Amino acid sequence: MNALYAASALLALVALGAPMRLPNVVYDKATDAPGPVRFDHRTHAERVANKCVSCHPQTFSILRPTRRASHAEMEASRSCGVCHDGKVAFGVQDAERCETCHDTGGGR
Amino acid sequence: MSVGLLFDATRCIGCEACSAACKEQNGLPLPIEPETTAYTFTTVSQREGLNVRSLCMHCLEPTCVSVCPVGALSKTAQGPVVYDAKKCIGCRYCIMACPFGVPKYQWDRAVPVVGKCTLCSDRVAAGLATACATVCPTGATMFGERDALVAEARARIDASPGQYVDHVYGVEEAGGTSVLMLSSVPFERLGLATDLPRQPLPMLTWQVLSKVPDFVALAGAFLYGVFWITRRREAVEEARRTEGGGPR
Repeated sequence: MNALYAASALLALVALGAPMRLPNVVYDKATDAPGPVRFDHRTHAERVANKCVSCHPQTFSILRPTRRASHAEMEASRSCGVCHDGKVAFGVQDAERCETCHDTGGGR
Repeated sequence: MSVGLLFDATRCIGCEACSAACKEQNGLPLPIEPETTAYTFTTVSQREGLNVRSLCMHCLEPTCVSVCPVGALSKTAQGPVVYDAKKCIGCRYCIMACPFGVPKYQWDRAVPVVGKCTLCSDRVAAGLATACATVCPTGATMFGERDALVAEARARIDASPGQYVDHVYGVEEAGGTSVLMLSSVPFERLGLATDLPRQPLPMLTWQVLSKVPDFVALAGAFLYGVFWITRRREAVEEARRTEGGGPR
């Protein structure tokens, strides 16, 4: 019995160690944005203990990748703003921290 | 050729991407309930240290299809067992008949229908994989031709015999299902029915139903015979009374 549990735990580890298909999402640079945004899927998944249902499908479609996100949405507690509200995760209004999300091409 | 799913419980991390994708694909209301309902077609639950999916097994010869009096359920040539709410009269015989307890009823609605996984029949018809298999990040749920999936499952067991129970669930259960499962723990401990006959369940009733026409014909002949004899006796009795001057 214990051996089986040990085997299961080992298998779980093997499963976790297996490469996960978590496509990153790139939001193209909007006209008034400082740069494009590359969403790191893995980091976000780890934050929610690999529970995809933390964001899917209520906040983001899981079948059709989101291509656009606006600060207006986020400030209305939608899109990234569901978590990035300054409480659960850093807020998106901080003018000093654009580069946390936006790739500004090394200050160009 | 028909399609199916291979679910490998040893690869599932319980992320519930499948449940999320299912909700979205079928336009079902949130939340994802802990057990399958008429609004949650697939769930992931933890058992014996493994994550196990619960969904329609899509029997090769489905009992739900055989018992439905109005043909609301049907097995498509591609594999999915689909449901047509427009035909359904709400008798819920399918719910009673399913050996896996899959179809669920909308008990909270004034005009309820049955809810169950349809193996994304629309996507499959369009040449796509099911929503759950499409989003599965670890490949625990795999979509493909059923024959190829059976071969893949056997290959996984052969490649690492110690890692798996030497059985592909769904190859023979209830006559075979389009959804197949692999596990490192005996299937009954994952809450799966393992006492199912290896013959398709509709065969049980077919053995009786197929004899109904013969029975009707034979019973008809027998009853006519009884009627003929009775009438003959009455005629003879009547004739005897007439000849013998009638009763006193």
